[in-house]
Amino acid sequence: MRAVLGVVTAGAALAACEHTTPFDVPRQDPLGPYDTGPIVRLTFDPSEDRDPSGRDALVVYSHLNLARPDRDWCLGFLPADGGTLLQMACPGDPEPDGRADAWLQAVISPNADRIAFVHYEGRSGSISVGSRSLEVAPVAEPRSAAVVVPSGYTLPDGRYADAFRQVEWAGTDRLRFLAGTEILVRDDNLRILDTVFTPHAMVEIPVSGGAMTIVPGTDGAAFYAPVVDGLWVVRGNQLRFVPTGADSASVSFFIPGAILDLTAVDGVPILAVRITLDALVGPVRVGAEVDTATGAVSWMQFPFDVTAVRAVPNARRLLIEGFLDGGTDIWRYDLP
Amino acid sequence: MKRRWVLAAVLLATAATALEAQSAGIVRGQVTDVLNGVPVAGAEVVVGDGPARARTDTEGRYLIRDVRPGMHQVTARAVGFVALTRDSIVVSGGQITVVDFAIVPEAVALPGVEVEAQRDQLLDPRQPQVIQHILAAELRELPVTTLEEAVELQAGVVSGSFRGGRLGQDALVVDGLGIKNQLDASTGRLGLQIPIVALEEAALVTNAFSAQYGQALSGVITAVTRDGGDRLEGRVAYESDRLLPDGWDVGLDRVTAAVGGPVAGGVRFFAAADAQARIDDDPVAAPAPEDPLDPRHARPWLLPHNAGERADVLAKLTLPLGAHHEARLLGVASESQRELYDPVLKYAPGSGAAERLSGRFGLLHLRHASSPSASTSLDADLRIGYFEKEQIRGPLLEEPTSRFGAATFEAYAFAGRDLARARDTVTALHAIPGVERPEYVEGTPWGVPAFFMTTSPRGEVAWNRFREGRARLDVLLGGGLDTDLRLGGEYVRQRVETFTRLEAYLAVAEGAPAPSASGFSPYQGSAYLELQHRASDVTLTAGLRADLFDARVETAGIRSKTKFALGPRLAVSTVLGPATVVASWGRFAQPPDFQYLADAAFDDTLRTGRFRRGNPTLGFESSMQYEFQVRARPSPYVGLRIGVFVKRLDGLVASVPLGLDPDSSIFGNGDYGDVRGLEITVEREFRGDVGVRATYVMQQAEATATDARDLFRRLQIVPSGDTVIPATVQFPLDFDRRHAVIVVGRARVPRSVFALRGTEAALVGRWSSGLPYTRTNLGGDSILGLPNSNRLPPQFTLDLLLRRSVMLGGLDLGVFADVRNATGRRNLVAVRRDNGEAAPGEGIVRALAEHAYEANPYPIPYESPRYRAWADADGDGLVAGREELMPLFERAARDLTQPIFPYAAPRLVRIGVEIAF
Repeated sequence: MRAVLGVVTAGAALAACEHTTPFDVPRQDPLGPYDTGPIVRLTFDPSEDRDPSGRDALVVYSHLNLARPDRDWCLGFLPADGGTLLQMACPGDPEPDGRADAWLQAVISPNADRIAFVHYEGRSGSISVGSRSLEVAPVAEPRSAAVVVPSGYTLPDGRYADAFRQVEWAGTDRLRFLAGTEILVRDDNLRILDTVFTPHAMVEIPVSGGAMTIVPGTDGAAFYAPVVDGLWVVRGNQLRFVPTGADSASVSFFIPGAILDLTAVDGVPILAVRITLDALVGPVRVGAEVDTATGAVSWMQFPFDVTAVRAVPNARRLLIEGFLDGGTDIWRYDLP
Repeated sequence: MKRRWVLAAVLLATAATALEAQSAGIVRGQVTDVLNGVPVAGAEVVVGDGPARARTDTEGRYLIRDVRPGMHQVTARAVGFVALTRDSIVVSGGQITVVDFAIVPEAVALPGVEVEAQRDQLLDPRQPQVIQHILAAELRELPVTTLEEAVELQAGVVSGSFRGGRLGQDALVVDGLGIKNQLDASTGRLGLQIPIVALEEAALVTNAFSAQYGQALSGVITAVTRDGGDRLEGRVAYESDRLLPDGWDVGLDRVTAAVGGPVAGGVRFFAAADAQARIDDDPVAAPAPEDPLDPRHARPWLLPHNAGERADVLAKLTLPLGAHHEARLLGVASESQRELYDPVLKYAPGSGAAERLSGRFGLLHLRHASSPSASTSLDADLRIGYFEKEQIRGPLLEEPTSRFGAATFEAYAFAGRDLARARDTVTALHAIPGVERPEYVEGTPWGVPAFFMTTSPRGEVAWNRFREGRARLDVLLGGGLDTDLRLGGEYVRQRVETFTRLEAYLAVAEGAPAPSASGFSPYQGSAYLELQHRASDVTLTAGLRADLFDARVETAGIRSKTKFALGPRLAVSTVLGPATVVASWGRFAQPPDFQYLADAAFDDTLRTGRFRRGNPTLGFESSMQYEFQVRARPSPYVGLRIGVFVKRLDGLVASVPLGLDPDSSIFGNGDYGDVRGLEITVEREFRGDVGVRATYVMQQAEATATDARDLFRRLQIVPSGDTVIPATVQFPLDFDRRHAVIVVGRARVPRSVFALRGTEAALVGRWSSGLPYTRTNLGGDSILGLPNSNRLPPQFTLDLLLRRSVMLGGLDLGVFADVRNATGRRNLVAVRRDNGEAAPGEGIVRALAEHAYEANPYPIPYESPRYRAWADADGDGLVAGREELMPLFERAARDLTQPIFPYAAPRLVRIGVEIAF
């Protein structure tokens, strides 16, 4: 009996040992920020990276994917401080299709679970845009987006619009944006050369697609930046402040340059401006911080041309779209 | 006298054997009075409890036909004599076992007096068979775990090829009924595996087999399953390599069990199971890559996504139906499934493809044996069987979950399985759900988008099912002791269903090849007649077999027709001086694989979606074999067997161009060839404590090798504009192994060595010259030299089995160690056709890298998951330009092309425990 028990025990002991396992696929650990310091470059792709937007731990931007034959603009998701991409989602993934799609102006919702973006859809090779729509999707699944405002819409005052500019979240379930019309110009390689945007006004709309409302005092505004007690807007070279509830500006400052973008940090408007600081060098695009009391402008110079600025909510941080070495990329800048 | 020699020569040159492929053996002998040697007439000789029995004639001779192989008791009884029983008589299928009795008159009490006069089976001219047998005891004692491995121990067998023939030229006969994967035997597997613990005997016939059996050109494997015995017996064993260190452990777990015994009223049962799982189901002795970033560098032993498991179950009932009838019910079920490692998916192992194969076999065997008192015996066997084989290969819906080692205990879930089984080619025009589109993996050590994919670009869902019902009647008429007449026939009704969809992640409208499916119901029929006559030292066997088949399929408006084939077989054996000579001749035919009768779409490396047209007019493949064998016994325990053979193959299925497009082809019975061989076997019988058998085989197997692409390459357009097809040349066949030596040794520690009593060892050594292969240019599109004109290096393996058993209270307890390729030799079983090496040359690697770089020259920015800081030489946040990117592409190419499967299995060790009762 002891021998039987011995054989059974030997078998059980044999079965209890662990097997050798095959090699594991090595995990490529994500990288952290490229650099330290107040200004850190977030993207290096020689292609176009634009429209940065950030919230909490996430940065989202639009990326022209030249590796795809359909030249789609995709959405890249980065850690807030920079490093390896968390996700790159493209229209029509995983395979390129016959359309030239672009996901632009993406912004992250206050609870960081959704993004709103403008979806441009056109025929591949065409310089015209087939449609533009404002859509909302889960951060993890941009492709499962729902249309909030379709291509071609009418404002409450009857004006026709077909474009969206400076989309932002106005709460957890509302969006705001500048409504207007737009002509989009591309080169033969489908790269967007320029857009001609004619603003009507800033509007708000529930994400569920309810009634659209026009925000007073924003008629003809090219850019806007909401602050606690009102709204900074740009018309031409004028930076104006429209108090909450008012239908006209209470303050107006002249900006000595062409205003390219507007955002605000802690109530202070920050601009992207094209100016000529040095006649020999010619026009440069820089950042500009405007004193809300005097309108005095403090120039912020970077080793690239600033083409757009966007403040990260609840942080003294800017995400800057800049032009360097023939392409646009994204930097983050922590304000002092 | 001269004329007689000529006649003998003709007979010798045109010989064939009989009975080889039978599942039953013959017991014959003589019963004499021990006091005076006078033959005892009318004595009854019984094998076991019957019904196999016979009465002696006036010369005391008896003959019992259709005795099941195995160990038997044989008893002789006669009025006025003491019954005498002889135990442990080994009967082999197709062989004659001679058992003589000298019995004692009852009036004279001389217990214990027994005279044995057993003939030498090696030299007995009444045994023309050239069968290579393996009995159950050997199967247990040798380092083999499957029937296929046991067959590989025999002369002339190479990886499923018999005597140099192509794959699929063999047939399996289980308990007297043939089983053949008629769908894709040349490229696929049978799907059915008999648990080795359920085998009473296995045998291989590679020469001219009996007229009873068809559907084979080169070999017949017979397997006789065990019956339940008179008392309850069983055995359970577990074996594993878990205890062994890294590199020796391939994740094996195997359980075998068998139990059998009486039920009631003479009914006996037997059941057996064999289940095995391995984490790496195709272990190879491939060297570790040199690149330290390659994950195989540190752990080169096991491949991920290469697990496999199988389970085989057999159950059998034996029912006596009166004195002269018996029924057997046999059921076998096999399931095997395995993941298929693909180097392209090395960094996405969870998304690979897998394969599942199921086999079912049911047999009802009714046997009638005439009364032993009948002047002319008549034994009849009616067998009705059903065989089914189903196979699917495709992407998995989810990664299998292992529960014990590699065992999942559940069937893999395949994408598109229901669609495939329904052969729904309409729905299959769309992308098949669950088959993901392939993308380049980001998480490789090299980062660059090249070679390594998230899912297989083949996107293949392939399914087939083959079913057949088979009814067979065999009749044995015994005219006296020296003449047997066998006749019988068989009818087989089959059903073939196939489905193939490639690039199933794409809709056909997006460019994927169209799905293909087929379904047809062939039938086959056969009849045979065979006469064996034994006269003094000469045994003559003559048989004739007629086969027919009709695939009953229509392709491109052409309908198949019924094909006929006749197979005469002749054998003679006699004594010439100190030796026994056996000569045989036979003509054999088998229907082609039915897969070649139906259209198929298939992929190639260029993803051009080639099309292959089925040919419903394909006829029989055939062969004719001549064999001459000499048997001698240089010393009492040493036997020598020398055989030479010539096999002429004809009508082999070949792929020939369809029109002028080399990418499209049709199959025809276009190829023919010759196999010539010499087989020498020297055996020191297992007597005492040692036995050794050594076999040497020298053979040459060549055939025409028609291939659509080769044919187009050989075509020449002469200046006059005429097309000239060069003379047809025969090339070595893929399994043309010129020299092979197999040594099988068994030894047992003498009982006098008490400390090691019960220890036994078996050794199998194999050395063989290399198989042929074809060299091409670096592009792979032009053959260098002649097809198969190059040779792989020789191979050598040494397998061992050590066992220690202890008998304790009726239990046989044992531990054993089974070692394969004990020397750990790295055998090369394939090479690249472009350089003759296992690994690609630097030029090939660079060319691959260059091609991949040109396809994706884009810089890799810092934020990309593909960015590798160590490759960013200038630290500018971009891996860009040829200087920085090409090293990555080259290392990726070297990773992809590292040789893995060109190498055979490494040293494999398993340790087991067993209990038998």
